[in-house]
Amino acid sequence: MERMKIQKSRLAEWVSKLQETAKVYAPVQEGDATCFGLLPTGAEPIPEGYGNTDRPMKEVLFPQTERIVSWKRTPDGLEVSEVDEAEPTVILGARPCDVTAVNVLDRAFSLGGIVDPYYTNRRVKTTLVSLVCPHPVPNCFGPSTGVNELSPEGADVVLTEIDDAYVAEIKTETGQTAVDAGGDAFGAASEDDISAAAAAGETLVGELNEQELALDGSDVRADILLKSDEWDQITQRCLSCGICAYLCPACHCFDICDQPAKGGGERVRCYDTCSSKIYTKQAAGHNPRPTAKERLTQRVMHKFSYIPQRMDGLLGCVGCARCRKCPVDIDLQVALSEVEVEAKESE
Amino acid sequence: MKNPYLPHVAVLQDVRDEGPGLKTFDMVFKDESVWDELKPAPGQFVELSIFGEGEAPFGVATGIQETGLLRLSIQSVGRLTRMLHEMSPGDEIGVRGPFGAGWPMEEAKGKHLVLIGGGIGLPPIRSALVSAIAEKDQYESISLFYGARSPGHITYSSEIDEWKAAGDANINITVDQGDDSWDGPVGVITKLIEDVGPSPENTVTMTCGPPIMIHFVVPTLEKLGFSGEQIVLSLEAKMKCGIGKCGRCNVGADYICLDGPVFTYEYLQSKGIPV
Repeated sequence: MERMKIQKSRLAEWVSKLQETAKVYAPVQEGDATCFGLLPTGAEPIPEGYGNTDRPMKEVLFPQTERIVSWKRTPDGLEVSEVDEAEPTVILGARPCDVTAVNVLDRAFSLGGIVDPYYTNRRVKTTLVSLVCPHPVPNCFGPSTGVNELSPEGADVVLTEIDDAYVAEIKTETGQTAVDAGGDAFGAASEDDISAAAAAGETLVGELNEQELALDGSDVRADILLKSDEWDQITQRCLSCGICAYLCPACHCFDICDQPAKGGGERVRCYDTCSSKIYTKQAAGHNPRPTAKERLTQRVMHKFSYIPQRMDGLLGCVGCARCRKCPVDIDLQVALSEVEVEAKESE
Repeated sequence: MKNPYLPHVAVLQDVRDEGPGLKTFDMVFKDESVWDELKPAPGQFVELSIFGEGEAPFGVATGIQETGLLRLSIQSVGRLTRMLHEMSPGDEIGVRGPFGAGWPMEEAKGKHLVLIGGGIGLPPIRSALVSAIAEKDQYESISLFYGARSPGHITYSSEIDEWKAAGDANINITVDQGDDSWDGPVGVITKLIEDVGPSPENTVTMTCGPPIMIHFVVPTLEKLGFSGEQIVLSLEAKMKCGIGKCGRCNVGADYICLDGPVFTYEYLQSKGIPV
């Protein structure tokens, strides 16, 4: 498709057009952290110096907490109804890693042909406008996980920054509609603009390669991890806090809880994590993953072996490095390479 | 879009004691027309809701001939099951499902059917047993091996007497600990299976019980000559969604709720999933 161009100074104008028919989410500050939040009318859509948000973009499609069912007690008995809070939405400024993770979520929420209505209703009403990174964020290893950093799969529009403008690659009909909404805020990109965008991409790829880390999912094996002394040492540090899962753009496990109120109540789902001890603990006391070693093995295996097996090679990791916010500094990249070294030495 | 998270309201019809801490709950759907959608196949499970408390998965005991009736036999072990044990006929609960792959009843036809149940693993075995009895001409024979903690813990005891009396199935029961009333075998279920020694010739086995029982039943059956394909197991795990999304029951690349709970041992072995 043809490339379009929008001046940075006219981005807010495009957003206000989009806001006429959709909710627009973009990087915002919320408390101490940045996340994808509803953009206030008239706000600058892309903050100066934006690298990536602290919290992942998945929160828009798969909120930390969402209502799924409500019930009422009436004189005729229980009345149960479903909740649908999906609204037309545009996500602006998602980095290619977060966009790539949506491919994992799409597959996870329709696994086995059973469609999750809450995620899917949101997803089909959402336009994803990705923004190519000007420079890699610290510790990024996206390309090692297969992320297309210049034109991520799943995006409807991809913006690449050139000086005081963005060049827009329109990837889908949905993306075309979103760009059309901008009216004359967009103009055709010139050959010079397109070359400048390509050059920006080349610069980024060059910088990314320098940071690339070794990662080969096919080498990850549960039996090696479970008998590794190195892994034992590393996993003993785990506090089971779950921050790695909550911040991961591809993690999608959840809990379902009831919140009773007078005369009825709501059933909600909220993020859960495989690192939690009670996650798999059965009422009768049996726990198939009793220690952090089994739980983190599950985490690694799910991301680098089970998801790829189930989803045609997609990894459950997009290299965003948010999991490095671990309070006890468990770095899966480093951990896995240490286990690998140990396994090779013992051969 | 059909919403798999939306429970249907069911009304408890009968609640009866089966043994210490164990009750059977018979229920019907308030809107009877949903039975066609909710009709469980033997070996499937449902997610049961007590609104305000939450949900939990339970293997269904209902057989194919028991139209309109959902039967669950549930031990009181956690918060939700304790509340359930307080409920009475007329009370309303929520049910969604049925979920998962059930017992391979069609494949078992024309063969000897050996059903093995331990403790609270018996309800899903009952679904296979009564379904097979309903079509007993189509099976070479039907046998039940059942291990209970004590004679007082034997679930469906009056039904078991009826099956025995009618000659519907060969019933073999052992208890961990006998009492004055008990003159049957005492000991673990693997010993009972070894002592009776069912032949693997043209036979399918279906087993449901606690993980530790399954762990020991598999090698016992292998010793008797059963192949992995003839050993069909129902696995259990903590579950929330029941549809392969929430993640807790993930084993290898499979989800027990979605790809199971019923698996052949051959399949589990090929995937490196230990039992």
